[in-house]
Amino acid sequence: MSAATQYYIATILVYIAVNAIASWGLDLQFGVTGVLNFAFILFQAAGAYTTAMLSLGPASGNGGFQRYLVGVHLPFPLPILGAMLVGAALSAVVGLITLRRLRSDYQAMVMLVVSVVATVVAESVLGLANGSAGLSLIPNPAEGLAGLARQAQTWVFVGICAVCMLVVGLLMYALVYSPYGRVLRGTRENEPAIEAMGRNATRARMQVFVLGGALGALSGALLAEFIGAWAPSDWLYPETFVFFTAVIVGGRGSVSGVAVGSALVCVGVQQAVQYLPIGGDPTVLASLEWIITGLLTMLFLWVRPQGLLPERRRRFPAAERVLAPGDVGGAVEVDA
Amino acid sequence: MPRHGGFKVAGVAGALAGALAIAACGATSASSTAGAATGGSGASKGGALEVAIFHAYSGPNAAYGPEAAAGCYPAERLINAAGGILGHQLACTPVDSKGDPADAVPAANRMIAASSSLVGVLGGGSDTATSVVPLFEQAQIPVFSTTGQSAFDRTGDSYFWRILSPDAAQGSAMAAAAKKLGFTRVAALFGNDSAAQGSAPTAISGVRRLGLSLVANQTLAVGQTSYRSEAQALSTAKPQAIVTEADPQTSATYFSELSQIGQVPALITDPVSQEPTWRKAMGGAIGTGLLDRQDYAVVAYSPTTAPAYKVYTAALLASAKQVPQPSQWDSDLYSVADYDSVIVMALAMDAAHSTKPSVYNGYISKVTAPSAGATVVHTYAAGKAALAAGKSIQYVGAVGPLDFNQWHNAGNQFAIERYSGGNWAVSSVLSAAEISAASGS
Repeated sequence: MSAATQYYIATILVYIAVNAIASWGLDLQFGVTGVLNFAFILFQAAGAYTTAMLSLGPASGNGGFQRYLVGVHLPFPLPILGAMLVGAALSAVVGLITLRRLRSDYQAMVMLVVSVVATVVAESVLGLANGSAGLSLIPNPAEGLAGLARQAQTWVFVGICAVCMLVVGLLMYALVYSPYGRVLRGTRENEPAIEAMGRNATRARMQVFVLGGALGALSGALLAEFIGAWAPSDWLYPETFVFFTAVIVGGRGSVSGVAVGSALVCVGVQQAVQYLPIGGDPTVLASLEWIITGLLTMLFLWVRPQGLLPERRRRFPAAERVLAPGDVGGAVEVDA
Repeated sequence: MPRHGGFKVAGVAGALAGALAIAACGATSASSTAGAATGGSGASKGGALEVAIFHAYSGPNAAYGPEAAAGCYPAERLINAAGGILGHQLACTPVDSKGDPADAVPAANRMIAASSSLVGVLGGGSDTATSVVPLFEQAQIPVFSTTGQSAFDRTGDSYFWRILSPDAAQGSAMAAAAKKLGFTRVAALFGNDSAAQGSAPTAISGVRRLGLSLVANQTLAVGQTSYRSEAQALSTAKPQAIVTEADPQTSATYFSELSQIGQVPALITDPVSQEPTWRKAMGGAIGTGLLDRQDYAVVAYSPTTAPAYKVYTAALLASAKQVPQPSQWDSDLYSVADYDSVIVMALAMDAAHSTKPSVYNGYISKVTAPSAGATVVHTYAAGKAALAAGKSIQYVGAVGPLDFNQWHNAGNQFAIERYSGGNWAVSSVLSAAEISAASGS
């Protein structure tokens, strides 16, 4: 296998990991808890910008061709951890504004507006993150490893992404299939009932909003370190809907399903389209990607709303109870 | 027991793995056909060589791709008409970078892996250059970029080549033009997009350095539906000229509203104003007559009487099959630069007697640098013949001489051009001293 092919495969693997982490973050909010976060891409962007600012060094470096805030050079993994903290903090701020007082449909509208406004601010305030040109020359942590060839460094970064994906995946399993996960699903399914049981639904939504934001930021941090650049064109608001499609296709609330949906939608569709024998017209190919993504959303919502791998629900044997005449008993199904 | 609605986990995982394997195999099989892609083996004997037009064909910068194609296809036509390169035909292949780094990186990697005959790249505009140029560097494939970013002014990338001057030089030239034209009250109006922001800082500092009065300095959030308040503020400042760069939509919206409020002063623009989409939008907004009267385009000096330019326009007009409405690009400096880029690549391969990118890359500056005894050529056919005769050559292209410095940047002269009677004509040429006065260097 040639070096170029290896590098291409490594790129695909990094994108699978990064998109899985992001999709899990959104699934925690939307799939498990029912929060319609149409600003999700903003938190990925926050992570990408933060890791850039924490690893690039002073803005006067590299000839001072780009302007940005902070500008320090921290060793790996501090920029990534910093990115997650910023993602969580930004989520907390947005969450405090939107989650406490607004109904879910209005929350969605506000989130969408926040996403659009954030892009305009990032483009217009040049000193924030270098405006529309964005930030570039973001260091890849694997490149600092002495004695390794470029190809080996790439695979080291694939390993870092794989470890992050594994850790986040295990965290998702632990969280979603725990008693706390039942509270989250209860918040999604029947908020009054959860409140009646003494649980605070708003607090639960807020918690997953912050955690999901941190995961989004983690995905952005890894992606920015891999591609070495980040600009507003990377996080226009429609990008959020690609993650929504991944969650819907994979299965809302299903950890494994969302990972599959993410790989299929965020990576698979983009790559598969390139091999379609339609004459190689690049304009058509780009349009086709969005058309397929939109059609997948509609198709799954219409035909298979539970997704490819539906959310797991545990079945318990029927509790002892007084049988009414004609009642044959059986099992009751509850959330896992 | 968990239920999965009839879908088996293994089945889904298998389908996923299969889909990804197909994609990966597509890349593997293509690249393995002719050996390692990294290091660019060139093509097998007689096979076509590929030059990728790696630009945005979708997204906000979707005009970049067709613009570069208008340079590549005429070059392809002329090279193939002259018998090709070392027995190989040349083919331009469009690849969509989508104009953002996150999409451009996998697209570039897929392109490198999937094409065994890729010998050169046109692309990496200002939107993606910093993320994809290192990939081409790693794959040892020469990339001719039209990015104006100053990050490449002193680049260490040995496979990076830039024919047009960087944005910073463009900005200084715009300020120098304002001075030369005799304006004393100048406004700066730039979009907040990356392309416009490349030249804005030096244009503004140049205006100040030359002692002109900067009466307004506006940065427009591109793509808005109205700029009435900004236009009102600018009109109140009463500038004699506006130094400006913004995308077609933004410019049209802004100047449409400015023309309703008051007079449109002289416009000192850059090569963007020579793009057909910009002229069409602005002509519709303020009228083509007024636009032609007020517009002073400051562009790299490219004498339209130059032999290479005439050859280019003839080839462009003959390439209507690949380039729709080809005449719209004949004055587009980026298209002209991309044409020269492909011709230079082809001549370098001939000079190196190799289509291998890592070999011919070292000959690029050898076929363009002025040297005693070198035969000056303006076409691929002439250059090929001279090289075959054992002569050294200097290709003087449609944009003029291409003398690359140690960082592979070729500087340009600048000129002020006016549009009249359906053509661009040089009004005056800016001297190096005039531009130095604006840049302070």
